[in-house]
Amino acid sequence: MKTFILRRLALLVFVLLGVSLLTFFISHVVPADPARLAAGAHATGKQVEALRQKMGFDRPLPEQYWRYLTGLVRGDLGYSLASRRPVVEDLKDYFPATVELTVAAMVICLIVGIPLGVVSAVRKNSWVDHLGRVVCIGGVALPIFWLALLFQLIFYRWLGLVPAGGRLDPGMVHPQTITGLYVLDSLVTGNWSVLQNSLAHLVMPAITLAFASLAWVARVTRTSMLETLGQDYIRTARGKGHSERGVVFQHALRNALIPTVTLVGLQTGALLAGAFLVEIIFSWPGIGYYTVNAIMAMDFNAIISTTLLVAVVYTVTNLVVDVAYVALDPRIKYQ
Amino acid sequence: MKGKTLLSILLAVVLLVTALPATLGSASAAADATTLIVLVSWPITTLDPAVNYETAGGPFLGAVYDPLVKAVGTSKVEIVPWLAESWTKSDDGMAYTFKLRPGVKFHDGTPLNAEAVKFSFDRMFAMNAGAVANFNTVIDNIEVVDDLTVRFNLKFAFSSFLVSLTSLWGPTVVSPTTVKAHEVEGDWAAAWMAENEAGSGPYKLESYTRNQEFVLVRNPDYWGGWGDKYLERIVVRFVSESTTQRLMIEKGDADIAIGMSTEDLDALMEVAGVQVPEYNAQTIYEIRINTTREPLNNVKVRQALSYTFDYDQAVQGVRSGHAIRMTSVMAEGLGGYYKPSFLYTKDLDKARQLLAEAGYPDGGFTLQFVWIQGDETGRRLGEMWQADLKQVGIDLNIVEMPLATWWEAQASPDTAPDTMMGQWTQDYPDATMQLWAMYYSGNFPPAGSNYYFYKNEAVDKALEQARVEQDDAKRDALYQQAVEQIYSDAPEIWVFQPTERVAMRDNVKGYEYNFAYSYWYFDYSKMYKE
Repeated sequence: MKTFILRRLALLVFVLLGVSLLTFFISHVVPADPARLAAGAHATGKQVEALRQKMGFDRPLPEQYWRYLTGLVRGDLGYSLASRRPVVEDLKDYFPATVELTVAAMVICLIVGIPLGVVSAVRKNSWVDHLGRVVCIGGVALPIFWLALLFQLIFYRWLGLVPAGGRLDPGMVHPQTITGLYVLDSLVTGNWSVLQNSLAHLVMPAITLAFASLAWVARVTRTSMLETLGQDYIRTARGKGHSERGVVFQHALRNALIPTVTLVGLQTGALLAGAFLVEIIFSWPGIGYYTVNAIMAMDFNAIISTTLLVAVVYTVTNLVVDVAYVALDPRIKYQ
Repeated sequence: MKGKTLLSILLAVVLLVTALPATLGSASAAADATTLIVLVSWPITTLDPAVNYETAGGPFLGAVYDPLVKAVGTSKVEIVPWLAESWTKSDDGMAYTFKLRPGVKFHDGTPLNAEAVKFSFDRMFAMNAGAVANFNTVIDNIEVVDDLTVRFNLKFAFSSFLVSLTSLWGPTVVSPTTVKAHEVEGDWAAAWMAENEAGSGPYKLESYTRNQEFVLVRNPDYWGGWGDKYLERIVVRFVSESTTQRLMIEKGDADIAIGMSTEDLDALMEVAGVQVPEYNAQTIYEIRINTTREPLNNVKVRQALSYTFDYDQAVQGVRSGHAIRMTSVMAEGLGGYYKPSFLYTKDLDKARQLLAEAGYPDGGFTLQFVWIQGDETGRRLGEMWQADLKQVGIDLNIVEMPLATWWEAQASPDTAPDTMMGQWTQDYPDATMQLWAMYYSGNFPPAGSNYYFYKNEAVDKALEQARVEQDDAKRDALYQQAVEQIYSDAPEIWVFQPTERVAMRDNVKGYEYNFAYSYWYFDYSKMYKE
């Protein structure tokens, strides 16, 4: 198991190398003049040239790539054209916001999606199942930005249950930065008013973001549960006089969860992608908004760094998923 | 039975999650009468006045930093004394001497004097960023004459020097004490100043959270003094989504919003408790023509194009009336505005006649038209123009281009598009800045903004002379001569000046639109809430 994890982590290095190479060259193939763009509409040729040299854009591409890689090893992701500071500083500001949002969405996705799937399977063709089906089809079919606007209209404008957006109320001082996750930081520092406020701000974007993934999780859990409930060993368990609760939770659910866990790993990617639209509409200052701005500005260092970061998160999540299989099914062994 | 237990757990979870915020309570901070909440569609990227060179600097720079002279006025610009009480110009126009207002203090408590003015400009030149080119190409050196007198010696007798000092970007005064205290390895405190301030203005920075908001608090010791009604705090919050801005204004959770879509502004005009004042702005929309390429190098073809464009439809159809058609090469209301002796209007017969004279009796050529990604107005204007061009036998091939790609393409006449949608806003409210930057042949891209690669010797000569002419009447005559020539040479189609609309709650009082600085600028010190 240990060797397996170590080998996978070693492979991660190659994945990242590949991702960085691809992003680097694709972003440089597009004809664009990022230095001109960053210097401003009325900047002089000299100013632009100085900026170009500072960024190393006057160097040959392979050299630029090598510089980037060697910097990366030292933890230096380069300088952002758009924000005029090191990319690392930007990521420290924006990444925790996205982590907070996606983790919250994932939690909602699991605590609502799995039970919904289980109930739909156990009470097949009951009203719960039908309702679950409607919710799930809706979740998959409705575009997330539309859902976000709809939720905002209903829960903010009409019902006044949640704030319109942002991470805190206007003018509220953010908690002392430990992790950058406001909910966690305010909890650790015992800052209750900020904790309440940040939770209130987190709920709506997290539910919106969770919606589509939740639908997938519920559907896959339902299908998998139905299949498992039809197995011989379930019949045996029932025959041995186990309670229905015991059959469903101890025998069926654990085995039925494997496809769900796989899906959860894959949905991390979907959540990170969906986070962008949710971030825009709920003014959530996360990595999605930052990345899109970086692409518009051809801010190379920022583009590559965020792509790499997402690749790391995605790969590591899927590694965790693989490890989770072992916990769920002792028959699975990694050499 | 078991299923029911599951169901109840599920329902409990759903209820808990949705009901949570209700128990936590939601925000309504705008209810406080001394706090103004402003929503902006674009975040400020740096607070440093020597580096910031963006529209999004408006809500911050003007409130925190003071210039020597300021531009005021809603539809016409007037230059008023600010940190400088008075000034004199040498007879040859090569030196300007400013007498500073006594008793002005920075937010750090130190006095604002001639030394600080010199320090601020030296810092801007050393940082060599932002709008520095407006100043380091003109100013040779700065002398401290005495504690409250400072003299600017120029490289040439630039006749628009005084008005250039009204710009929001660059020529403001920073506290040398604060800057020096935060300097790291001779960086002029560049890192610190990007997130803090060292100004003397009516408001001080309380906090700044990048990409989210900044909070300003009233400076009770402000040299300009305070009336009986004022705002204690200003929260400027970045909300990029127009619909979200609109909902927050409707609900009263924000007081002012800028950068909203036309549709949302139209909708807000119908909402009780909300006002949406509209102002003529100095930004211009123009269709730029590459004058080096066949057949566009023929002035008759360019004039013909100018006669195919439907100016009224552009204002009424594309902007739903929220614009005024352009009547010159520059925006109406700017200092130095001059109306040429004739106006292009849509006249397809005249266009056909001009095309025939140019050797294209039935048109018969295709032009490329580029609009920059995100500029929906540009796309719609292109589509409108396409239909009219078709009638004179010209095909318009409409291309969408990302801004960064366009910057690369415009650098050379060989790669610059045939025609493209452009916008231009003045750094300082004087038409001469635009005339020089856009029509002087020494300012071809990539270094300059003559995107048309337009060259006319008479225009060049008039602009060179006007730039250093100290006699106002003579200078105006030279500029008029240049405008007349440029307009008839038609290196672009001058479309319209869009109006600007600010959405605000009814209880916000004292707002004054500033023509020079656009609707992104606020003089918060005159505003209050009822």
